[in-house]
Amino acid sequence: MNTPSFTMLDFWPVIPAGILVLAAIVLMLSEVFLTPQASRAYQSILSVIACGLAGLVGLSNMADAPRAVLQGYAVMDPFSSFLTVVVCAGTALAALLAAGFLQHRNAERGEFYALMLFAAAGMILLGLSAEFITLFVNLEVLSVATYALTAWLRRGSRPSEAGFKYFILGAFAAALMLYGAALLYGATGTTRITEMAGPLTQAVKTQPGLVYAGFLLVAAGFAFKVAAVPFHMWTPDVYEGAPTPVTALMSAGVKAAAFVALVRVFVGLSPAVDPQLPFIAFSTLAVLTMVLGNLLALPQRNVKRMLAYSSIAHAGYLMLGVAALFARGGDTSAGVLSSTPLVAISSQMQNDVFKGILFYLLGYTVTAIGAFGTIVALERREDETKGNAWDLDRFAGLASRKPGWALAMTVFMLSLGGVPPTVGFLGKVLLFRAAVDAGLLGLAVVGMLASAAGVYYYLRVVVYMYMRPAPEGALVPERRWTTEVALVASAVATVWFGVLPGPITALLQRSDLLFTR
Amino acid sequence: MPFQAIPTPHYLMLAAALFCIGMLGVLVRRNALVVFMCIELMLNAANLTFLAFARDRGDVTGHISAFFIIAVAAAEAAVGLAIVIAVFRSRGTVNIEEIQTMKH
Amino acid sequence: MSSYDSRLLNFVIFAPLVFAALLMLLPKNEKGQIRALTFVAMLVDLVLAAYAYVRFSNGGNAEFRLEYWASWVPEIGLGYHIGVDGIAASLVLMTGVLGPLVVMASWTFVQDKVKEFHLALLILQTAMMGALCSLDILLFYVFFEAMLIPMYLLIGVWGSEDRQMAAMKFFLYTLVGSLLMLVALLGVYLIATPAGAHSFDYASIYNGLIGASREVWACSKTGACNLSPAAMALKTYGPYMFFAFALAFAIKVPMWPVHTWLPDAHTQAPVAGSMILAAVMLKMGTFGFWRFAVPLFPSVAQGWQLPLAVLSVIGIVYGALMCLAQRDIKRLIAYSSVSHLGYCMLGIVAMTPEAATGSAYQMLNHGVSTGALFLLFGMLYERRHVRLISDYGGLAKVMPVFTAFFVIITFSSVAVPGTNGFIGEFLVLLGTFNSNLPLWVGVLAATGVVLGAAYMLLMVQKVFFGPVTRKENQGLSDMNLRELATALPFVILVVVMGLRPQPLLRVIEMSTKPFIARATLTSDTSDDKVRVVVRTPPTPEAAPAGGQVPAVGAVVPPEIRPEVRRPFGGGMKPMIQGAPTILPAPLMGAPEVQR
Repeated sequence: MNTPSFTMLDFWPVIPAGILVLAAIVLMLSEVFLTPQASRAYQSILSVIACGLAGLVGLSNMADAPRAVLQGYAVMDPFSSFLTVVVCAGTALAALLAAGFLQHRNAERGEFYALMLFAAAGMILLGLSAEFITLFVNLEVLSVATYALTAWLRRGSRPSEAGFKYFILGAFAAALMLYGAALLYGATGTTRITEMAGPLTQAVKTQPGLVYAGFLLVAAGFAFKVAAVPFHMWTPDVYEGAPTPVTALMSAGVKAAAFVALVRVFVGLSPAVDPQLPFIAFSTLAVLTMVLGNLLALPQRNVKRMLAYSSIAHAGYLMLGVAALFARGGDTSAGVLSSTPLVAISSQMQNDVFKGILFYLLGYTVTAIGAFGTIVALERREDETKGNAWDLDRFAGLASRKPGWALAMTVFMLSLGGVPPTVGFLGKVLLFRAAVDAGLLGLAVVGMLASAAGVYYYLRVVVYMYMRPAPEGALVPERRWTTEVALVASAVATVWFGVLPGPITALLQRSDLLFTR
Repeated sequence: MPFQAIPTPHYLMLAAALFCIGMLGVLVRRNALVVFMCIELMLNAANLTFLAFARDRGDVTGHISAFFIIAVAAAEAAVGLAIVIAVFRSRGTVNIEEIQTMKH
Repeated sequence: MSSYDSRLLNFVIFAPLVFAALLMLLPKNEKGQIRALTFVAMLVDLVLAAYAYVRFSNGGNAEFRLEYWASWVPEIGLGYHIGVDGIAASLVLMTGVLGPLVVMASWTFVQDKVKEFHLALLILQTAMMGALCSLDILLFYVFFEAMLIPMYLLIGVWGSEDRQMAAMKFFLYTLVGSLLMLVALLGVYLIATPAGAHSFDYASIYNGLIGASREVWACSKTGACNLSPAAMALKTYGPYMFFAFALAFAIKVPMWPVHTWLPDAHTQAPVAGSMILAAVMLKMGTFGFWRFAVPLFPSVAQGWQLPLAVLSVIGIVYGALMCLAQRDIKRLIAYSSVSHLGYCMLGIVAMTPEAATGSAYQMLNHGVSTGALFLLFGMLYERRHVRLISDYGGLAKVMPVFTAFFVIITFSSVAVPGTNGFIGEFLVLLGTFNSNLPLWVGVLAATGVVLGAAYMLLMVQKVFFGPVTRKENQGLSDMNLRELATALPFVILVVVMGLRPQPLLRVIEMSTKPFIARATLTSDTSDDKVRVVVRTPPTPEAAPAGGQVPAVGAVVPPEIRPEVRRPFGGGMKPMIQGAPTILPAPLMGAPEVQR
């Protein structure tokens, strides 16, 4: 075996993660010198700055040509670079939210931000992993950090319960995925995704059981991570119990990273197997997730829990995009809508799907973090143990008490519901356009109807804010400037990207979003 | 070479059995610590599979993978146990059925 | 056309939004200033709309005029393309006229959250103008959906007792329809425009479908089914797409049987909400049929002409019968809308020039007469806060001026000759009898006129004539100056539109002919009759001579774009970068090219 030789180019893609890790270490070390009473305001600022720097590096990496780096253990492509940007934006917003949240509970410590940044680094690296062990390690980096974050307020019973559930199911999912990876390794003799497709084509003939079992286990592991129905049961409890800024990070960043990795693995591997198989699997997951996610959210009065179910539903829309990636091959009805021969445009259409998925991830990230941010702004510590901190009543009459917050929350709700002119609408257009292009008319219709049901529960929040009087003695929540900055930033981004998406779409306008061998 | 007398499929069978036991354990057992152990069992089943395949193919990737998995599992165990302790402290029990306060 | 003309519609659309931004700066408690500013904004918008109308009607012979195009999201072929044809210009004018009147109508009615109310009005105005002017299907969709939010708030926040339910019903009904339309819209966009150069532009989509529509027509009529891929796709999915479009617009119209949201919404909405809803928003449905559903899928529309006509007639008769049964005046007016809009729909699906012109004219009439009815009833409601017919009686004695106004508007609503309503309904019925629809459709529709007279006059009689039955009504004050000034324009419009309809009809007729040609497309309709010719947007299908649309399967090179390589981000990137090279002259500041 040759001695590996690396150039600087190999390390470009890991620089954002490096920045985050460095900042995390600084935060942890600096905590040593602080008394418990010392002001820790610098910590969230430092986290935001680190995220900003990392995001800028990620943005500049967008321009680079896709290539395999670090001996093929990772890749550098616009797909992962864009994820870097999304994750950094999400983490920065979540860190801003966390500042006010933690101060209020006397729980602000450098370790919290450090864990957040470690998790973000894990997400970024997960997005560019092109080898199963790398993928597993990064998945664990992000997961272990989020387990700890979820249980951060460890004296409360809910956070520890949420952390416990998340840990058990997360570790379970990781183990499933790992075992699947082991089986695939057995079938092919390699763990590098880019090299697997070739041997897999052979192996699927000689040892189909091994290959399909491996596929199934890996897919199930990912389905857990992205909270697709029927692997979603941990989501509502964990999202409800976790500290709200952490929930925001989970719903946006963790999910985005898991989706990117999912796409990379299955686009890389599925040429070897009958494409009908992943198509059926993912379209089934998509339908179940879209429909059940929305239906289960309908009766929720607890807004935080409602947003948890809504995040399941949004995973369903993304899953629809993933299903569209595999629609071409086996499905004979596919392609009737398209006007050029099947083979020629397949890669371009795949690219459209990638574009849709990425744009949707960005849109969902800013919107969901904003929505959770409003909850952060409204919740009171005393009510958390009783569980009514997130009740719809908390939103009653918000429009007269805090018009700005009510407006921001309205924007988020409309964006989640996919109503123009918000980023959620445009994301849906891009995603569904790609799905319809791939011939998934039926699935698109199901998705649209499901999202119409979704609008009902999003609007209910608006109804409470604008059309119900504030309850007697409702406290006007105190302002925390970091929270407000985060809210304003997400609201502006939600509308801005919805009305003038030019910079984003131009960034995604390339034919080589995903590196494939 | 007494070890080579055991063919690879046996290792794989053992690993698969361990994995299934672990998975079942996670799904049916009620004690948080046992569930936790079952997850470790699943990870080790994956480990064993990697090693068996690596030996079968004479390939080094599987061996390296095993090291990584061991390291990661240790980190995971540290955080996991801490969480279990936090749960025990706040509720005085590690029975999963009693860790159900949030309702749908 | 001057380069100013090409931006005129931008001003029409966004003037209210600019004023809305100004309004944000005003303090919350300055209710008078807020109202005045909104009024000025609406007035400015009216002047702009009227000017646009004049410029349109003297603006040459192109179908679409006052066009403006700017790149928006070139990556998916979405452009900001606006322009008006005859019907759109007429509706824009009506929307403009309504704006200031709506503000005046709610001058005293709304006392709560005044600033938010007027913000919603202004935003709604922008959305409605935008939807009417859009020449890009997705842009239309954006405005179409964006209208929902302010209207939802208008009903839900400032409505009567059951407002939340009504608002929710309104929103969800409309949304379900339009989400399905979004899927269909994506489908038609993918079929009609070539891969690699997909475009949401109305012209590209329509022109891209002409050839396929012809083939589908030939296939269904003559059995010559040697279809190109696009025609194949259109034949397979066309009906579904048509129904998705039709459902979205039918809910908005509303056609029977998806009208059930309307009575609730109207009853609960504040005066301003009812007026806008009746006068403009319902027209979005008929306008959608006119602009999108029927022309894009002519063979399906022709095949389903009779069922659609039957639904329209059911709407006419059912709406009228429901009116007879109503005791709530606002509900009665709402059901009369169902009936009147039935005429508009019948005029569209009859597919004859008279009927189409009448339908468009009826849209304007209905805006005037029903808008005025809601306004006038709003004045009563403001005094008494009850809605039942039995709560009133003999008002003619206490409110003579008001009664006179109400009666004139009633005449318009029941289409008495000499009023505007007569011309619209007459043209629709004439066109229906001339069409290939069976005779009984026209006959049944005509009974609607009789029924209409019955329910309106009965209501007027019970409310206004006879003795004053209730003590509370004795002391009612007649209209004050503001109310008079609000109602007077409507009465003037009723009379002017009834006696001198020619100028308005002339503008409408400019788009009737192309609409009929598109709706009745057959395999031998010549291209130049139906082709949508627009000035500005770069149509991706470089049409070869003879107007033959290239087979959609043809390979069109993807847009060649410079590789985007910017080290840190794209925030500074101007929107027009990446636009095709044939940029409209006004955008570049270059001298206008005369057509």
